[in-house]
Amino acid sequence: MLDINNLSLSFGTQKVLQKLTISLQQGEIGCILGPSGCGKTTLLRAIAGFKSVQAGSISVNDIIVSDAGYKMPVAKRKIGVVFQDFALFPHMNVLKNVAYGLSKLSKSEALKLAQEAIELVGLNDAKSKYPHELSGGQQQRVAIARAIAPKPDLLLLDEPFSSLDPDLRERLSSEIRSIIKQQNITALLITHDQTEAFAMADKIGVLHHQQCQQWGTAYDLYHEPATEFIADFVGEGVFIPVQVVAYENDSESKIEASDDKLLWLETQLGRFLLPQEYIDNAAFKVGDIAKMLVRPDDLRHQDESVLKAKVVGRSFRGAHILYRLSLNQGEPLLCLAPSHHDHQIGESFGIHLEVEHVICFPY
Amino acid sequence: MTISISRLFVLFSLVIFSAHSVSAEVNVYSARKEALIKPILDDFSNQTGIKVNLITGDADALISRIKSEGQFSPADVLISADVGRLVRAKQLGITQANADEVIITNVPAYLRDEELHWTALTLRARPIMYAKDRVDPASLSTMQALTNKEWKNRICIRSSNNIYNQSMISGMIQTQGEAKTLDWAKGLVANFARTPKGGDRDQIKAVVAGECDVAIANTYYLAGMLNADDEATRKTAQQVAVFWPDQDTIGTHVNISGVSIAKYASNLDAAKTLIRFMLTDEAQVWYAETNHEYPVKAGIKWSQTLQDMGTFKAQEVSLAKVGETNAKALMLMDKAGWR
Amino acid sequence: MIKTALKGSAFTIYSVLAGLLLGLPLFVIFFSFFSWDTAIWQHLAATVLPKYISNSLMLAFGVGFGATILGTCLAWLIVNYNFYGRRLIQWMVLLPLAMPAYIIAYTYTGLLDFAGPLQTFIRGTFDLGAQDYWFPEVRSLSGAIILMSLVLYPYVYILARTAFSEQSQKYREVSELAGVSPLKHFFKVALPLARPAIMTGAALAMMEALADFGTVEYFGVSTFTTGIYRTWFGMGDIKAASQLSGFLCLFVFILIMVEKMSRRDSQNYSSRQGKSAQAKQVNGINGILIFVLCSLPVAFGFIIPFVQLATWALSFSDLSNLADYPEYAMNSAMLASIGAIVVVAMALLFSYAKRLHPSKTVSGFIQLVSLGYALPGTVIAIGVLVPLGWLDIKLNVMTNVWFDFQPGLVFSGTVFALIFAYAIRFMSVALNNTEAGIQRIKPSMDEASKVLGDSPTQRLLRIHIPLLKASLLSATLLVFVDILKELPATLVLRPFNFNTLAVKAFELASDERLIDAALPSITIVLVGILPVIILTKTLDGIERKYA
Repeated sequence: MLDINNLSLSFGTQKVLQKLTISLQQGEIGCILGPSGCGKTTLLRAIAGFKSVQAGSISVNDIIVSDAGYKMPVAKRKIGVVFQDFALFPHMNVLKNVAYGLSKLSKSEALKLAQEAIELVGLNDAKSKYPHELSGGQQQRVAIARAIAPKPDLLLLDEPFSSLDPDLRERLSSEIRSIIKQQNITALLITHDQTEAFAMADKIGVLHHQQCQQWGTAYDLYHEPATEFIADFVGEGVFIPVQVVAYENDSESKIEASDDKLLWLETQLGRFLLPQEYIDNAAFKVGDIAKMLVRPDDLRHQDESVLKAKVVGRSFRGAHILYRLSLNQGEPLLCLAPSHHDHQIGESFGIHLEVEHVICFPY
Repeated sequence: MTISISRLFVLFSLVIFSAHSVSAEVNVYSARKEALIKPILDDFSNQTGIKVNLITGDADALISRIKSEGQFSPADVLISADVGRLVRAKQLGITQANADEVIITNVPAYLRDEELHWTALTLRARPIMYAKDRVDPASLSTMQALTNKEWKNRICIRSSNNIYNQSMISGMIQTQGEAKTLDWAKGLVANFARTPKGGDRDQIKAVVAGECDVAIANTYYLAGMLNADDEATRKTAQQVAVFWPDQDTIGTHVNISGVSIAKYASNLDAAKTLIRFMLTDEAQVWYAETNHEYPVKAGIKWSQTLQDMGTFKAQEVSLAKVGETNAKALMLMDKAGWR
Repeated sequence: MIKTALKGSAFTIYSVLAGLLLGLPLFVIFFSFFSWDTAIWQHLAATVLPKYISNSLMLAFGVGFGATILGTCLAWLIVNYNFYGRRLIQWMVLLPLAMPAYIIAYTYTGLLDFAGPLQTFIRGTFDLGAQDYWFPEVRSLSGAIILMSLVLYPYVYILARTAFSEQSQKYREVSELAGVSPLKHFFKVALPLARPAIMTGAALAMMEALADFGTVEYFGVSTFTTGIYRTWFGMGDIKAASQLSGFLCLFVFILIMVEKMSRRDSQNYSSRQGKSAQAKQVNGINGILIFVLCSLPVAFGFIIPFVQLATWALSFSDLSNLADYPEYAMNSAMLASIGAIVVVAMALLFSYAKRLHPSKTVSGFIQLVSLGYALPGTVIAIGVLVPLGWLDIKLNVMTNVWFDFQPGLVFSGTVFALIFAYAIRFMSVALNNTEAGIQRIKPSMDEASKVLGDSPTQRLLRIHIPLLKASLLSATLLVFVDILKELPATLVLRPFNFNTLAVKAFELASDERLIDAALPSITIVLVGILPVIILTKTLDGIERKYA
């Protein structure tokens, strides 16, 4: 449905994006995640047609809408955009705002479609109100209704929840997701907020250093980050130093392998088997120092463990407490423990590392 | 900041009035334009050593200013370009009598106030001017005749807002009565070639351009054009000639420029000296030569341009009366639809 | 009234005092209504009043319309399109501000009337007689409307430009996405959003047109203003003249109310969102077309009359008086600077007092002092003279009795009276800027300052004045140029031996010495250009700040 192929964007001589490739199926919600200034807004504007592309192509429904020499006019693209600040017309009421994009249709038709869109976002009662009379969340819904009323092939959302309160953000994002899903609309949103991305998107791409570092599901991004940047940027976690050592059968760790190519990762918290794909890629050799990603949920609270870590910081999160721990004065560790394990700063408790996906990067 | 600004004002006022206490000076409020009065005032200062402080402006505004300044008004002399304002100044009680022999002997009685609150300095005549190439002067006779049908769409004259027209009508009210004047004004308006606009010079230009055939205008405007720096203006003016109407009867309407001494004048002697100076041959010649106005004093040589326009019989109606009926004249013109 | 005033801060009291002071001349006018002379009103109503009313209304609305069309179109094109020569046009479009209406009227009459070069050329070329062809009459109501629109459109342009450039780029993108044409976007979105600003500009232009005397008098158009002069000077009836002025005030009051109401809904629009509109690059023939379109008002409103004036001045003027010009220019500039600073400072006082304690009293005084804008200068001059003259007499009597000393006419006989008159005449111009500027400052700024322990005065000095810098500067420059051009009040109220450029130009022009008037006229224009250029820079600054 949306195919972006080897896309490069620049402002004058300044490169913004290079060789970006992503695609979305009909009805999928994609998300471009990245810190501010990474070029995600520029990408959105290129898809909408406000900006021309320097190399590569953008296709919607297998039709190229932009490539290095061509830019289909904005109005012909059948793309809806929800702007970050909503860009509602302050002098028009909700109904007029929503019907604004339908001016090509007959008046009754436009009214009907606008009505439908307004009903869809649940603003039937506020139809004749003006934007300044609406709450932030309501304004957001109007913006969505205006964007989807003309039934676009593709819906683009620019930081759609950034101007809303956090609790409203969460409620609204799942609601909007269900509207988009229900209408089977293909959508792409851009955001710097990963919880928003995780709540909304089927596929997420992370932009960094002018490139899309990974294009995959939230699960992939969190548990199998392709680059060190993603590992660091997505979710919480720390890197701990590891040493790559030759494999020798170790009954204690209950790992059994027969292949002599296997390598151990030796850490303060125990040793772990280097996953097969690293070995296939010959990423590490014996004697290398590497760093391994440890998510807070990988580190368990275990009273009987011999490894005792000292609490240096804590933040209460309801069901869990996120502890910042110090082990033998070394690198700080994060541990997400059930909140009935209540330890104050300065106390120590036993920990145990259980890693399901071992993620390593060169030091 | 407010304090420093008010200080500045005080400072400024001190500068402006620094000469106030010096005796040899006279403060003139003039409705005549600076260019038309300054040179003669400078001459006066050079000859007498009396410093002249000048302020020019609309006559009525100046009168209002003197009135509101009351007994502390610095005004010594009020100069006006028409009689109506002098009469009004007298009525408002801001002038005083100046029974100077020089005035009584030199200025004809109809050109000065009975109580000598004001006197004329110069005369301006308001005759008919016609296009030399299109109008036979023999077809012109009286102002009354201009209301005849043959002059339909052929007459240009400026707006009734103008004081010269007001004085002219006022003079007519004096000589012929209100009813007759109204009929005349209606007849004239019916013969207008266009809605009145512009000044006297514009009427003369319109005659030359062919928009109308005759105009009623003051002589010194034509004289000024005849002596203009640029050739185009001179050429335009040369295509127009003056006709003196009503020579067999009442005479051609004249207006004056005149002068009064302010009631609370603090430099009374200097003011009197100034007025006497204005009536010297030298000053009268200057007016005649420079501004082509007719001297009030007999025996003064006219400028060549004025001589070329010929001598004429002036309407000898009391200008004091003319000034008094000014408002009546204006309302009459309103009724006649004279814009 | 005093009681409600005292509820506010010291600023409220200051502003009430300033309002009372500035209101004095207006009270003089309003008090004239207590002695009603039926006879003169019957006469006026039966003869000239209907014409005064219809001409004044047509003039005001005509100029309002013309200035709105020119100012809005120019602002739209210049904000939204980047074309060759835009930088030049950007400041050139403001130049007509420096051209007084009466001077452009004289100039175009000289150029276009029956005896002027153009018609003479037509007659000469085609060998036509006087009545053989039709040529539009310059000196007519429509001529006055067109010429005044040409010099007054910058009032609309300045405000419309700020309004357009504050509009979010996103709005245009929404329209583009929806396939709405630029023209339709202009009418459905951009124009309605900028409407309050445009209305304010139009109201200013209309008030200027109503107050104009020189042009309409010269063109032979009977308006309220010429009627006031005529009733007063011709009939010597100062009461009826004041009453006519009172009716003029009433009309202006209605105008201001309408403008205020339109601004009221706009408060809901004013929350700025996102990045400002960006100019679209236009090259080739379209770019040239826009350039030509934008230069037309400048050409007719400034370049053509300027060249004509310069030609007259160079070829015919008596250049021997040139040595006096630096003095005239200095006087003009000094009056205009002091006047502008005082007027803007007072406007700031009003706006700030209203912001501190929004009370009906302060708002009422703001509306009262705004009325002066449509009053002809002479009427204001008399309104100023009456109370100041009274004050001077009382002062002199008092000092005479106590100290045997007469300070003279320290109020009515000095520059004080002039500045006072300017303050009444141009307060509206300054207030429009300060009011709009102060509304743009978020209330949270005041609260932050208050919480941090600033007194109202400190807040004004540390928060509002720095934030209002651009508004204050543009208000100062506008008032400066206005005072530079102001004539009737200056003429009447100036001290002895004190000449300004406008006085010089008017004396010559009203004596029908147009060509001699060219030199002072062109000097006014030249002195006025500098502030106009600074004004352009200021506007650019505002735009950049919001971009």
